[in-house]
Amino acid sequence: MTEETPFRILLVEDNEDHAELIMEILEDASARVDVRRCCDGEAALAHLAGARQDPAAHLPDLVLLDLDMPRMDGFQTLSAIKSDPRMRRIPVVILTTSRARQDVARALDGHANSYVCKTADFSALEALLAEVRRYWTRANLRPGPILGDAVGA
Amino acid sequence: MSRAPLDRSGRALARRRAPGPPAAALRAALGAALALALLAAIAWPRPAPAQEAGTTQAGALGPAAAEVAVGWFPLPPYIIATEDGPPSGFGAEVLSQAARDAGLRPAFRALSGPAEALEALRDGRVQALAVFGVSQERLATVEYTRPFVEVRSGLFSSARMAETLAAARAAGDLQGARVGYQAGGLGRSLAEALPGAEPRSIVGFSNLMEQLASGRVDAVVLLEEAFDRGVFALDQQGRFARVGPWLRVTPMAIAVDRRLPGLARRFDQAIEGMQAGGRLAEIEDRWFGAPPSWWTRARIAWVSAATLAGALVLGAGLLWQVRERERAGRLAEARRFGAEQARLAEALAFKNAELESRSRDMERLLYVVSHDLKSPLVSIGGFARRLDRHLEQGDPEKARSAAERISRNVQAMSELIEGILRLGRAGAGEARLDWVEVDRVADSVAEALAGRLERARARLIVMRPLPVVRADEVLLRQALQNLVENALRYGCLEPGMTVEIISRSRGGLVEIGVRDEGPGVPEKDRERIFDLYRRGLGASAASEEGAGLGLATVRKIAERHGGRVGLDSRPGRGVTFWIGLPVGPDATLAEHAAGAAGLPPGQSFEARPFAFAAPGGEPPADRSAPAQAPGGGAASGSAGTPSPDPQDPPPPGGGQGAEERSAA
Repeated sequence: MTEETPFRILLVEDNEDHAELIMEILEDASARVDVRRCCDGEAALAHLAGARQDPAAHLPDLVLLDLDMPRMDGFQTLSAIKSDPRMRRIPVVILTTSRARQDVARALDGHANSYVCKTADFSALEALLAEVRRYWTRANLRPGPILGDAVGA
Repeated sequence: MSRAPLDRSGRALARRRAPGPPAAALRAALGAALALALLAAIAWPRPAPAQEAGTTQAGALGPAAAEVAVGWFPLPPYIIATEDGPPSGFGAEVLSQAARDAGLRPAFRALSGPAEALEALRDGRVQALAVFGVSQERLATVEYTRPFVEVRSGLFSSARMAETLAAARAAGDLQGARVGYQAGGLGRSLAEALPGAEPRSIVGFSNLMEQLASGRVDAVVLLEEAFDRGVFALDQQGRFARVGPWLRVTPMAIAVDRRLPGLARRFDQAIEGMQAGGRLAEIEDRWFGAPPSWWTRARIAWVSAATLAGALVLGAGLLWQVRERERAGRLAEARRFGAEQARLAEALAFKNAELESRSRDMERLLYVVSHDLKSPLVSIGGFARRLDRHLEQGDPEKARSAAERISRNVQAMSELIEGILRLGRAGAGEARLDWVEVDRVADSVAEALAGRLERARARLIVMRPLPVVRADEVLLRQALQNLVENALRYGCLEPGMTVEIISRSRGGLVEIGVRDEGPGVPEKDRERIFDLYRRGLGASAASEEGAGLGLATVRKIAERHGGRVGLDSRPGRGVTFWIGLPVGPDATLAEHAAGAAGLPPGQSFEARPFAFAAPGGEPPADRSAPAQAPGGGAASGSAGTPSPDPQDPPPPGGGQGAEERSAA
């Protein structure tokens, strides 16, 4: 992906209030961010399946995943993403209010790339999301195609 | 390319600054003498893979400023980088240093995990990769990539490893062992493959070590570091071995895309240079600390020379024998002491089990409510900040909306706190059993929930007469209220739906049921629906918090009465939640109680037609009515016939009555 294309984030969050706040923070922080929201795991997987088949659509560059959701929770969603060879390279950041050890352990064992707790302090939440976005954006934007010509030399 | 022998002198220089105590050195001498032949076989590097020889092309990579993409994935604890620059980590540092030495510009690419790392290497998105540990994934790379540097690889493929493995198996060490591994790490596959062991996922390295130290796990799987007790490591066949406290392992491989021989050669030279200059050892020490000083190859070489001279061997041997005897004496003493302790420990264990069970309940509650309480707080915090912003910008419309959402979340929180208090009350204090007319309980529930019924546009129908049961009235009211609230929340998704309070006699219990017309409960949720859990019900659950508390409270109340809970449901056809209470010890009253339900045991209440549905109206101002004296008299009075309602007109036609409450 190049610098011009927006950074696509898929936010999977069932709580309306949280989704609105998180999207606001992400979009305020950068114009180059394109956030799409699904309200549970089933919807997220349907969206990803659609994006995979439609050449015009794109897979997201980052998934922000809540854990506690109706129908399909975050753990099931995570495992579906990480067991699909075409999707598992998408970084998944868990974004939840739970600080329980068993949840962290389960998420990390399910190959989540990061585990971030929502904070009640809005400024802290803003800073946290900025960090997540910056980190994963930066890390994934660089280096682009490298040494492509040399392959097979 | 030919692989140069690992330069031991570089390491020796790095390690010499931390000399060990003489005793340790002496002790090591004996071990070294025994292991010398072994070491000669294992510690020296294996010959380089043949396919690389002669295929290098110096110019293949172009100018020195070429970038190399270096794959990296964040290992737990998944620290999010806070400043620009390469991600931190031992492997990342070695790789970036080597790349710079090779005149390449390293650029890091975050990968989602080991699986993607390998994929990225295969499809050329990255050209170099640091792989830690020896996992299934790591083993799979061997065929494709060339692990041209394996730091201390000798230790991993050693005959000593096979020895310790055999010993561990013979001793049955692995059977039933609780083996911790670091969540998210490569250790998982290792821990899970351990025969007979019980793997435990633990978050964070310090917790892992803490649990080992406190005995909550018997061993831990450590791939990057080995510490001083109970450490497992893997041999190259993917088998497990228990390794002694003397062994430090930093298994690491740097894999390079073999389609780029020029790159492979540059990395080779750079790593060799780093080894020669001692920089590799420096980086390793910085990340993993200096190993026990007597376990350095340099020291072993030095001591070995002395051992060969002979005199030191004898001295050390004698000293060692004396120390062994002392140690054996201390061990025997410890065993005697241990036997006395064991008896006391047994008594304590019993008490502990009891306390643990209670503490587990508490932990579960905390787990559920801490999340559910935090969730509205996040919203309140966010919208409060927003409110502030809208006021600054002079946008009263948006400010009002933010304020409205704050108060909605406050409401959600206060409901949840109320739920927690109810659950607490359900489990605490003495239950005061008395004869309770469920009819009156249902009335007071209807009254308490009148507002909510109205908001949901739902009708509550009480199928009278409900039985008289032996119960704690306060708790029973709570249980019934929770069931009706639950029905309103999940069963009344559209206006005009009906909730019924019904009863039946079944399996020696009098059961009171609350039936709704909602979507029902899916088969998979029925088992755990009365547990303390986090949501997981149908669509409407998305907007509600703390749903797991209400039914858990009902179950607690049933259990305190020696009863049980249950449900009947067909998907799409609603659900009936039952709370069953034992019929009291007094036979006459028991009959009365069962008779009040008007049913022979086992027959379903639903079979009865509605005898009466009163027109809807405002709930009467006072439903408390003259309380009937508790006891046999009151019970007989209500048995078989509906008790006349002091406020509503008596149902025409008598017999069983159903009272309908509707809030239009």
